Amino acid sequence: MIEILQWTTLIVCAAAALSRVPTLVRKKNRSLFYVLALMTLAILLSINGPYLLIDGLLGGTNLANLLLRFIIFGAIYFLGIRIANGFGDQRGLRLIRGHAGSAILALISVALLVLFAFMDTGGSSAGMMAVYAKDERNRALVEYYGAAGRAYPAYVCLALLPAMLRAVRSTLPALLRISALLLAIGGIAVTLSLFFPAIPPALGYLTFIINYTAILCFVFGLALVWVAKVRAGRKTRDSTRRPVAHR
Amino acid sequence: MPPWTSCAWSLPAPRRPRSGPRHRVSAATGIAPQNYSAQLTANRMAPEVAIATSRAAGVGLTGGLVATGLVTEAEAGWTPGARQAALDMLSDSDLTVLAGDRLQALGKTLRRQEHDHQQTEKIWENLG
Repeated sequence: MIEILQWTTLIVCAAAALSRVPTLVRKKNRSLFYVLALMTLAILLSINGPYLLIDGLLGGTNLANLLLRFIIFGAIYFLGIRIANGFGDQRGLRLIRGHAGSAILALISVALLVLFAFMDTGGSSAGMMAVYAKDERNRALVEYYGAAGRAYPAYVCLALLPAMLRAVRSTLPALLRISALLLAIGGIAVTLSLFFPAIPPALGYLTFIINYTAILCFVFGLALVWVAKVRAGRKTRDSTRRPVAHR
Repeated sequence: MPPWTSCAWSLPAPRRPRSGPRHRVSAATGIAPQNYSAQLTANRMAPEVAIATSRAAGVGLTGGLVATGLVTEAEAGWTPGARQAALDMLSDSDLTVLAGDRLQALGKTLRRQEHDHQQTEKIWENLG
C-alpha cells in the first residue's frame, strides 16, 4: 500500500514538473519547475529502492538522507516565497524570508549537520531505519535529526496557513479557492508531521499517509492554479477573437 | 429598468433586525441572509424568492414578479401606471437616499470585484 502511494506521488509530481517544461523554456516562473523537480527528487529519495541506489553511489553512509533534508528545505523555501507573493501575504513573506526565517533555517540546518555528524551513519536505509535500530544513542540522535528535518517545513507552512485560510473564505474564483484549500490542507499535514514521535509504532503507516497527502495537496493545489489560468486565458482569447473569422 | 424602480414594494434597506422580513425570507427559502440581501439589492431574484419576498412584505404575491421583471404590470393585473404612481408618491429625499444606498452597494461590489481581479492576477503572475 505504502509503496503504491509513494510511486503514485512520484509519478504525479514528476508529471507536474514535466508540465512546467514549456513555461521553463518561456522563462516564466521558472522556480516552480525547480520546486517540483526538487520535490520529485525528494520523493525518489524517500522510496527505499531508489534511496539505496543513490546512497550507494554517495558512499552508503546515508548522505542521501542529509541531501534529502536540504532538498526539502530548498523546495519549501522557494515554494513558500512564491505562494506568499501570489496570495499577497506580506506577513508570511517576512516570516519566511526575513531575519526570523533565515535564523530558523540556519539554526535547523546546523542542528541537522551536527546531529548527522554525531551519528554512526553506516548502514544505508531509507529513513535511516538501520541507524535507528543500532542502539539507544543513535536512536535518540535519529529522533532529533528527524524532528529538525520536519521543523523547517512546518514553520514555513504555519507562516502561510492564515493567508491560505483567508483565501479559502474570500470571494476569489472557485478554482483558486479550492487551490488555496488544498495548499492549506497540505500545510496542516506538514505541521502534523511535527507530532510524528507521538504516533505509536503500530500506526507508523500514518506518517507516510500524512507526508504524501501533503505533497499531493501541494501539487494538485498548484496544478489547479494553472488550470484556472489556462481556462481564463482561453475565455478572454475567445472573447477577443470571436469577431475575427475563425479557421 | 433602473434598479430603484423596484422600491415601490421593496423592503426597508439597511440595518434591519434579525427578526425582520429579510430573515423571514431567508428562513423560508433556505437562502443565506447575505446572499438574499445581495440578490435583493441587485434585484436579481429567482421567481420563488421573489414570491417569498412579496409574502414577507405583505404585498400581493405578484408584486415580486413584477419588480424582478418576470411579468409586466399589466400581466399582474395592476392598474395602468400603478408603479409609476407609487414611485411618484415617494419624496425626492427618499428617492435620493434609496439611489444613494444602491450606488453605495454597487460601489462595494465593484471594489470587491476589482480587488479579487487584482489578487487573481497576482496569483497567476507568481504561481501561473
